[in-house]
Amino acid sequence: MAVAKEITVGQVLPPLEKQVTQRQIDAYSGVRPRSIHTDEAWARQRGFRTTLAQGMMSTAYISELMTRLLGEGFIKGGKMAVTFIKPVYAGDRLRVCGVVRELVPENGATRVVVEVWCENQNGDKTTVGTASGLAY
Amino acid sequence: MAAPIAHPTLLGNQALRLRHTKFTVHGGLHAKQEFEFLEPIRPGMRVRSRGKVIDKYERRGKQYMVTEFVTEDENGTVLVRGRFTQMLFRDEEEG
Repeated sequence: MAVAKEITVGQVLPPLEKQVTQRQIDAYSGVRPRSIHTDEAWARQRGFRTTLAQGMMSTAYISELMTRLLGEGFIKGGKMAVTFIKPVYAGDRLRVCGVVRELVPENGATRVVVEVWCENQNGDKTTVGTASGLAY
Repeated sequence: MAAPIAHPTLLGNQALRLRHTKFTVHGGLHAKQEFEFLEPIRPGMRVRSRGKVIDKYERRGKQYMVTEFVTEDENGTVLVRGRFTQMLFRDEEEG
């Protein structure tokens, strides 16, 4: 359980570094023809430079970031609201980041609200939003 | 909390693919996702996701649909709930 008094507003979470590989995308999304996730020719035909990772993979990375901070307080009581603003391509390297923005009392615990985002190797943000969970 | 437990977003794709159970829809891009994690997901659980379309709109020439969902265990206990927004490609091809 995360200890509430040890978390401070403005605290920068240690970022996660993720290498997005086609093999991971295949396992996550399931290989099938005419999929922008696993069929490279199809992805190019649709105007993308190569296959895309699902946005949902980024929510999993953010979930890992938050679970490292809050443990059970994110597993039970966690929330997330994100927007996928740029595609994540096979081969991209993502940095998963968070900054604590707010601490809100909630039923005897503290809801820790974190601004979260993912950015690629070019420094472009690919996912932005907020995640929160409970500290005791 | 007894281990093992799954990562909270594990069942995200089960919910995301709900539209295919009702509609013959085009592929598209995932635009937004909201989650609320209520109970841990454990190995051996049998889970069901269900949802409904709560909004649709067009923006900058692109069509979007918003789905609200819950993922429950066999006893009806809600494990995860949330909503997602998907942008749909216009032509009749897989995404």
